[in-house]
Amino acid sequence: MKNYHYLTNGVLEAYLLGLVTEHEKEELEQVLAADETVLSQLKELETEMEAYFLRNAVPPPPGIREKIELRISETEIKKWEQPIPEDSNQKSTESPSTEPQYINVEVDNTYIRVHKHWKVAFIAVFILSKIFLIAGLYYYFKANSLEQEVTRLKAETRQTAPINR
Amino acid sequence: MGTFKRIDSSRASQEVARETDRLLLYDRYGSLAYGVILQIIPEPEIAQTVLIDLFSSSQVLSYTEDSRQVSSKIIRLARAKALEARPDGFNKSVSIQEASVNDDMGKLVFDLSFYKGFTIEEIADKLQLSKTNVLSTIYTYFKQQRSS
Repeated sequence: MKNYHYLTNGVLEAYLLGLVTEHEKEELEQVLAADETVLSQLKELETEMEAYFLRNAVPPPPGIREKIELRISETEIKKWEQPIPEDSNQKSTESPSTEPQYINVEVDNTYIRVHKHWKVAFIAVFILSKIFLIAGLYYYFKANSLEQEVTRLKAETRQTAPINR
Repeated sequence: MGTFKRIDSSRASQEVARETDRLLLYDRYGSLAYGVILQIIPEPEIAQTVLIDLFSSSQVLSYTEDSRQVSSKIIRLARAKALEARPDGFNKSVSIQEASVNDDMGKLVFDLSFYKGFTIEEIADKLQLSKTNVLSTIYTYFKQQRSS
């Protein structure tokens, strides 16, 4: 068999590990397409290599899956936000649909995501509400004391008025 | 006020399916990839960033469409991304002479090529071996691993 050397020269291992050059990779891929024996050896080796790396596998900490999910969503949102090319607009006008088409969104968590600028807005609203509260209380008590003062002065005026006469 | 965009629902459902596929790949190969990355970058914070980058990349998206050799593709991509993301201090920081003190030749060649990012030519040059010998050392190392 002319490709026998591929089974024992370590090129298959190097290929699976990404250690071969582009030229060697192309050459081997041609062999793999033509030779079933080398291909089946590669598949067998891949299974063994997976088992080898699984022995050194480390479970990622919790929360990484959510971060990946979030990153993927952000990438998808960016894709959707990109302007639609004119060609695709033409396509859509060529085959008009009678029913409106929307994304089916299934929300399975109770959190909402808002733009980071809202954080500043929330802080500003919070501070302003505190200022208004303090000002409100201040003027309430001030008005209250003024009212008492007026009442007191009225009473004094009433007491002093007969004497003046 | 925001506006709703009318879109192709089949395209949208494809995107959702792809997202799910990538997460399924993470569920299956996440530990394997994280193990590879940690061997190259032993700093968990950087390793986790690389792991997130790996499974949200467009390359992984292509693996969901072609199911052949997925594990080795993920191993290769994890290695490539980790080598790329290594802090400057880590770049081939261990010299071949230092590394050769404790390791047997098979493990040494494998570690230098896979985890340290040396090319086969560089290893051959440093260890004064031929390229063929370096490759056959990797072959022998995996053969030993199979039998052990």
